[in-house]
Amino acid sequence: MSCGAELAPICPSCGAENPSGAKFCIECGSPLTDAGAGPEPRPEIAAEAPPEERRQATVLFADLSGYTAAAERMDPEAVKALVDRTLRRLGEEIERFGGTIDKFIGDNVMGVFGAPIAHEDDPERAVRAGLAMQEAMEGANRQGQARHGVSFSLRVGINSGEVMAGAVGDRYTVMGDVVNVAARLQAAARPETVTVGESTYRATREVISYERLEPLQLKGKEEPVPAWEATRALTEPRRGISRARTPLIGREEEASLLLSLVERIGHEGRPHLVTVIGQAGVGKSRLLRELVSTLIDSDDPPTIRSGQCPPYGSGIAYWALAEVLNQEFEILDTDSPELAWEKLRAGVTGLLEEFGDREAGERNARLLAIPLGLEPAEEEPTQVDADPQRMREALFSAARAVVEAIARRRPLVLAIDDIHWADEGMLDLIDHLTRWVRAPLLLVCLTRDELLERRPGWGGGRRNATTISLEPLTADETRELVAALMPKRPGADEDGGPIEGGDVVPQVAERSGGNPLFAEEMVNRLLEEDTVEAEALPTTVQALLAARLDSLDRLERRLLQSASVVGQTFWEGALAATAAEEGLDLGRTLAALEEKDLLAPSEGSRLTGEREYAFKHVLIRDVAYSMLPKSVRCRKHVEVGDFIRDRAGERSDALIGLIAEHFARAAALGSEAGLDSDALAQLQMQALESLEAAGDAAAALYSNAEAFDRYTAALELSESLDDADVARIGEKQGDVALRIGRVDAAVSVWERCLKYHRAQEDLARVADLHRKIGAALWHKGERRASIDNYQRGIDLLKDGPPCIELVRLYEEAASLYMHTGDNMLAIYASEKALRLAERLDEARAASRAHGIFGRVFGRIGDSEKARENLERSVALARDSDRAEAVRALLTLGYHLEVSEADYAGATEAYREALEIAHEVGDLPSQVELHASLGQLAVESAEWEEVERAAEASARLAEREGLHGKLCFPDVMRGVLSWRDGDWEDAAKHFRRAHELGEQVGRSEVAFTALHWLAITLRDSGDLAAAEAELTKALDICERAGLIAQSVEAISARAVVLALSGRGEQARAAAEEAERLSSRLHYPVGEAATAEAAGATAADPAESAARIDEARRRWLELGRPLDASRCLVVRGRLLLADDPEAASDLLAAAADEYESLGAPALAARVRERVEA
Amino acid sequence: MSSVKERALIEAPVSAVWALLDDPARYSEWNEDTIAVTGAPTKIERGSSFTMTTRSPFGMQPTTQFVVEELDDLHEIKLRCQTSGFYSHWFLTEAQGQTFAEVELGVEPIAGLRARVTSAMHTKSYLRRSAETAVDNLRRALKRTPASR
Repeated sequence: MSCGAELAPICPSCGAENPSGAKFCIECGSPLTDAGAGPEPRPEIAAEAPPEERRQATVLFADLSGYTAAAERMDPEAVKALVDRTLRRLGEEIERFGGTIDKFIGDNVMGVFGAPIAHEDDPERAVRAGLAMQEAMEGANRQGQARHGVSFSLRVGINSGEVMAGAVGDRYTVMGDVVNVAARLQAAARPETVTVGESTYRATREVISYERLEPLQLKGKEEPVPAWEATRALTEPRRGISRARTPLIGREEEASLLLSLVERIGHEGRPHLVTVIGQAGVGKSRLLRELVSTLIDSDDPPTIRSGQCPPYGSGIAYWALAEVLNQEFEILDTDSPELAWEKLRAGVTGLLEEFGDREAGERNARLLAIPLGLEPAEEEPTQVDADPQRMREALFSAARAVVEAIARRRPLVLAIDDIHWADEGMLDLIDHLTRWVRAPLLLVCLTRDELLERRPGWGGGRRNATTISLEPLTADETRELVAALMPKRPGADEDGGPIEGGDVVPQVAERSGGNPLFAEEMVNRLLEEDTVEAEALPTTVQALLAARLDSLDRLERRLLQSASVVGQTFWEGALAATAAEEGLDLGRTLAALEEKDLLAPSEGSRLTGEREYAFKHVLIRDVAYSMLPKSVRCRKHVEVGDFIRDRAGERSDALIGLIAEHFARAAALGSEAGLDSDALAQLQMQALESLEAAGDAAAALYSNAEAFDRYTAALELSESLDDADVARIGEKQGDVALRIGRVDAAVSVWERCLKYHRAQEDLARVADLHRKIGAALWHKGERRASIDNYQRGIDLLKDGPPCIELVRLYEEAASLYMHTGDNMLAIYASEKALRLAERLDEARAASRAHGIFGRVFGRIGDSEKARENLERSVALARDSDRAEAVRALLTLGYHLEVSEADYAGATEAYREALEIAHEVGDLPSQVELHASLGQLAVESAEWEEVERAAEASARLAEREGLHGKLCFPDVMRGVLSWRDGDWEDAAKHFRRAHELGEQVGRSEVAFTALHWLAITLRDSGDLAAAEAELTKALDICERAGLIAQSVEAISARAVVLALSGRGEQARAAAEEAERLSSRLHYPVGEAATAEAAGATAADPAESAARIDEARRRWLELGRPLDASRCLVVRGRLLLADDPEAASDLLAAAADEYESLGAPALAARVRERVEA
Repeated sequence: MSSVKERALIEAPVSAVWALLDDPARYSEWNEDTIAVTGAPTKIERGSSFTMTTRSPFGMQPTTQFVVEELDDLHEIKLRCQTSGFYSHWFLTEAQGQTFAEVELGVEPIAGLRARVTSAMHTKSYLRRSAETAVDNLRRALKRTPASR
């Protein structure tokens, strides 16, 4: 029983309910009714069916409308026959352009371009087919009107993108959103138009003219869909600005050879064939453009004509010849046939008459009208020869006569592009012209390697033929090209300077594999999509490579796809299962792929006993991989993971990263492909275990970024993780995040872990996490929050049994207090840490405690005890932990530098620390160490090293977001500005460094910044401000117990006061400095106090003697800038009483500054002399 | 108001150093400015007071009352002169079997002419020298009295 109402059609493929009357599913694009009305359904799948694949394809829907009127007037059988005929005719256009008719349904046809066989220009083919269908429709309508008085309207919709291709039931078809959108675009199209979606538009906008439509509101789509209406195909592709700007790189020799051949034909008056051969995108056309533009700019340019052999369609033989003739005789696409013929006739006749062959003109024009598709006026019928061979000879003769005549006027360069797609006749014609033309003609033919498969002897064995083989660009050339393609930053000059997105240059260069087109397309995609993600493949490149893969034997392609799952390099053994499945000879197939230049054997192998191969181009691998369905990739990744684990045996730990990658990919793909939950859970568990192990292995080797990625990937497998897993892996992730400077990420993940452990009442873990969070916050400069966290951790554990977590808490707190200058608390916490560490036999913790003791003892002037502790700290660290050695050496270096003025020893310690910091990936320490080495270089006026260090330190701090650490490079930058006499800029840097140093609690850096600021103000002449800054610097010394530094600052203050004429105060300060220095036996203090004493001495002789003593001490310490300053100080003090002596001293100081690479300082001093 | 801090590593255990600090009767053993102490309890605690005659700048020998403002056994003691506002604030902590000491000397003037005069006399350099001397003298006193270690 039924009610008679029309049922909503259910999609047989995906089960979606569709609106009544729909012909294709709105969800997946599958047909909703059986084929029947259409002329020929798609053939059933043969035994050798195309495999299931994900493919980039372009789908075309064409729908006839307006035959209701016909149905009213005509017999149904006649209507059916008319529709049938019309659809057949339209279907021919799909096939003519290399597409396949997927299905006919009622008055609708669906065509597919790119499946099962891809062409590199499938979107273009589809749009050209759509336009041709509209033309064909016009013809069909003319006939329909004449015979039956009826006509139809045709709407075409086209869309491109990834589809799933393969068997559905017993039919091969394509499915996916792309299909659905194509159908919707067709439904929304205006009658007699071709409407395309965005991806089709992007892929074809250089060869098709479009009008943009208002975004279309398509059924099933939430957002309006951008759409364009194709208006016509362009004869010459439009070239974007970037294409025109592409520089010629790495092809200078070839360009020069071509130019010399042009000269040669000019001299010899004979033809020459040059064939430029190379893979798609390698730069053949670019080389030709370079030749053409050079010739056009030359004093006596030859005639240049060009033609292209299109890759599609039948009946377009001699297309390139037709293009050449159109150019020569200025025949336009828009010319009427009559006008075009007239232009051809007049042109050929005139040309041949010029050389005395009046009769041949008309005859040859008629012959040449054939490839142009022109028909002479009816009263002048063409004498077509019935014998094709004779007809061909006549055509060749006509073409030769015309080409020869053009070349006789002036040398002719005839460029034919893509001759690998040329019909046989066109190739023969080129050969004919090369042999028989008697005039200066250079035939430049561009082709891919495929031509040699058809014509192995092309151009060979002939004296007037040259072959130029273009190889991929070298790595350096490719980088240069990519850099040139990237836009310049505003303000950069045209010829160089920084570029936008410079960081992606190496990545793009590497992925393009030396192929300029790939590089250019990748850059275009980055710019268009405003991204720095260089991994995604432009559709143009994807299409090119997919076409190359489709040209392979089916089994070769299957093998290549399986290999792509392994990676860029793969082992023969990993393909054994595929070979067995497909019944192919593995060795022979690999050899064939090697022969086809797709693979190459690797030098060694990461798996002992396994022969290793590599894809010659990474993008071929990517495309091969992208074509595999996700479920197949999933299965194959598991197989590969198992294969590597089995073969690696005992070495599987070393390859755990690789194994993890395959299992993780399998899990992700399994989820995307909708694997059943049990199987998926098993995959995820396998992935989790291997990812965590891989993370641990990487962290142990200090490959921190890799470890971070592994743990992140493990945590993303959330479905198979319980809270304990999340807390365990998360904590490790935080550890490595901090090492690579990702402080916020570390704190965030640890806070989540904290919640879990608190719920578990695991005091030790909670306390330890407080320590980690405290340390991370300290890196950010949040001192108060950091101390709070340490205190919370200590409170949790201090009354319990000794444990390593408590030791670490004390040592972290001690370290913080030491830096902030809270020496008492630093010693208190260190003592606690050291005692516990010794009880627990924890060398690392003991090392850190000794380091803090040493640093504090150094500050208070007890150098002997300081050194003893610091050396002990280094020794313990070296024995226990490389990362800890960085800290120990840094602390030792600082002590040697500041307290003992042992700059050689300090340099050695810093360098060793930096080396280890690199090794273990400790970025925060690297920032500090670069700056420390820079500071030492300042003392010896080694400016190149100062600049290098400042740059390295700043770049690292900025890149890693270690803003608090910018105080270190800021001091360096300030010193460099001071050297250059740019007081304002120097002061700006020192003020910022001071502010940051205070903010993050680095009292020593804050002091150094203020001290340098005072020096700058003093040298700029602002003595009052200099004195004020020195007073502030002394406050820091007082607060943080920096006794050694305070001697230097008090001495500097004494000098400033003396220069200000405040003798009494100056002398008091100098005495205070000397008194302190005598207590400390501090070498820098002794030099500084001698200088202060010299500056403040009332007796001129004593003053001179003390200044000389200071100079000697500074020079002995290796601080020539300070020695020169002594001359300046003395000179300035003598200016009033003994100007001549003062001038001599200042002039000597200026000379010294000059020789120390500080000409700006020298100039400032000379200004004073002149004044 | 001025103050200075002095830090030092003293080669004696904390208990020995503390023994000299928490017993005003022994101040004259190590503090050369202390002439006499009277009225100090046997065991001081926070709030305890005593009278001390000291040598001040410019040769004066005032007798003033001191109060124990802070006291943390073996760790912290702060004494303040009720007349001038002068104070000494000591912290001790153990460092590798020895004593890390930090002393802050300063003046926080209280109302009155005498206090203002005292404050003016206690310049930073005077305080600095006093602090250094105090530490040096503590060291010497500890060397003289090994039995107290």
